Amino acid sequence: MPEALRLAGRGASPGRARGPAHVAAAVAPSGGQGEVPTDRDVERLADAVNGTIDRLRALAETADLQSGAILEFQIEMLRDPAIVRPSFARIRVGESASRAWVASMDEYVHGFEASEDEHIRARSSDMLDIRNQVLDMLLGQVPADFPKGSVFVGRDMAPSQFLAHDWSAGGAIVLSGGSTASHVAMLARSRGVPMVVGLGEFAIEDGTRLFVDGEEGLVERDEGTLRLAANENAAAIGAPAPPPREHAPTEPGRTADGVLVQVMANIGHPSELRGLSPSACDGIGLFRTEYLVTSPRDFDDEDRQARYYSEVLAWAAGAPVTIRLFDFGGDKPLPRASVDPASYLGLRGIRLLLARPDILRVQVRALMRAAPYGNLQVLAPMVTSPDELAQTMEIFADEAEDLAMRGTAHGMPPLGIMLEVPAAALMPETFADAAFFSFGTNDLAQYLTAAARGEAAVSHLHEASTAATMRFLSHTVPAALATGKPVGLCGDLATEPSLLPELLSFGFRAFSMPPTRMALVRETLARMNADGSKAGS
Amino acid sequence: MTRRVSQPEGSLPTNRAVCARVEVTHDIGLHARPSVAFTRLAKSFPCAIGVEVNEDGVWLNGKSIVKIMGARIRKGFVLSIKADGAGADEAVRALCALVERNFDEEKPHARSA
Repeated sequence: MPEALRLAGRGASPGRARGPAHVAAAVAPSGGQGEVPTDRDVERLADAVNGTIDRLRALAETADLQSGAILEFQIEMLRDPAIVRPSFARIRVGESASRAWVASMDEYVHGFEASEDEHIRARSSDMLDIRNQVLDMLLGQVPADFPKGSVFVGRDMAPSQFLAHDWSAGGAIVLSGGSTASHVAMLARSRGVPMVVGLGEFAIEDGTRLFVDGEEGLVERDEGTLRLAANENAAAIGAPAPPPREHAPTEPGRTADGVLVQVMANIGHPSELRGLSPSACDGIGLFRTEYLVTSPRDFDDEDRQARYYSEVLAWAAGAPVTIRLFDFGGDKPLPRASVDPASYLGLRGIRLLLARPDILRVQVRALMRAAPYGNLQVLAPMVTSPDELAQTMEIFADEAEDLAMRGTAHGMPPLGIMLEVPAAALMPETFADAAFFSFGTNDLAQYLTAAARGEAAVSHLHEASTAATMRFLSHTVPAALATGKPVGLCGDLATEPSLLPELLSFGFRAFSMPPTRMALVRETLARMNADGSKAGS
Repeated sequence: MTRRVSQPEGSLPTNRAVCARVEVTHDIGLHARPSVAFTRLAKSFPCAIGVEVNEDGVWLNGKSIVKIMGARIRKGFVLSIKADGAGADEAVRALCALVERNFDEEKPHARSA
């Protein structure tokens, strides 16, 4: 029996995947150490830089907007003569081209790695990427790729490596270092590739089958006993994440018999919208604001939060945008460094926010200041009792009064609640003040099975929970609809075409999911009637 | 919002050296995309352009993204931007305006409809 393996880090891109580990070689290049200097070294380095620029330009031709911007940055860096000047100086005093290049780039990169600012540290992987690409070119090496569908395991991942890799067979990224603010993290979120960072030192053998949960920040050995539950769509399981479609349906989601069904996007950062057309969805159904927080001081920065929120609202241009209050969990410091399974029943979501009103108040103010920029609604996570909703609304009212007194432009967004705690989902009529309901099926499944999502020993129970979750929804959705309030669903269940007929028959008319799944769901909806029956039958 | 600490005097002839200061208010400072925008704009002017960070006495080439990135400019840093030569006036004004607009990162994305 292989040793148990379970690692907790920080989720950098949500979603779950499984696949064999591809353990990347150490990033430090060994190449060029034995290289003998020649009188052509200045020219060789210049050629390698130009060759790398050509390669990046070829990649940029087929890249989406966001990837294109990252490639443009690397190209601009390489086109700047200042990048090779220190290397040329070293070559003139006798160093070989690759040694000179590596040494001078390392000096440059060091300043980024040493910074206390996470965003500046995150740029060091861009600089190392530039260094390694030119070095590969100098030494005639092919840039390292890895097998399709595997889980990349390493200290960090280079943006060019992400962009050159074929993600169509799924896979995930697992890093001992890394950052949620890195370019690779942004790319992973927009492409729906699960990613976990900050795992620290660990040993995983090449080829080990891994299960990665990018939302919870967990990596564990895939014991093979984990059955594929029906709700785990192919993309989430390491088989193909469908590539973003160029010609996604641009009509609002609609069934064959003409009933509008909103197909909305889950996002974690405004940058994920760069490659996405507002017409590809019917708004943002879930903006997980936790991903905006990279250091504790981000909680205090009201202006920064307000800018991110208004950016998303402006992008949606009037379409609904549902922003969820910070959904952090556990007794861990904020932002959480690791996951304690016990904390799933503890201070999480709105419970934590009401215990830390300093954090909640800043977010509430930022949300209300952003509200005039579009069609905002706010979602409270993990609500269990109407009292929690009342307390949250009181804080909104308080802060609105304060903003009004200061003459700051603001709006009061409708406040809805997640239905993910069974006690709340069974009693929707008691939440008279909620403006809308959103069933969160991932957490609901965990609480229905009493099986923590982060607990390897019971993960098979969680994964087999689909039938019970569907039964639960069939009982509770009608009660929620009877209140006359809008009722939506966000969670992996929404992305599984085979479950859509039943979900429609319960009465759902709004689904939120990763952007990569929206086109497929819209297409599936167009082939069925609103009662869940197949169109034309 | 951005505070412009001082402004180039509008009456200066365009061929003289001009200088202005501007505070960076972009959340994550001059990271990848803003540096591309800044140096591209700088390169579109014929004059020489220098950037000094927090009055540290070191003038960086404003057209070099390697130098600008290397300065690791963060939110709250004050940039002095100077230009010397043809179009100096306009260059300083345009670069300050770009910093003040947060490098155009927050404008809503263009929509076809």
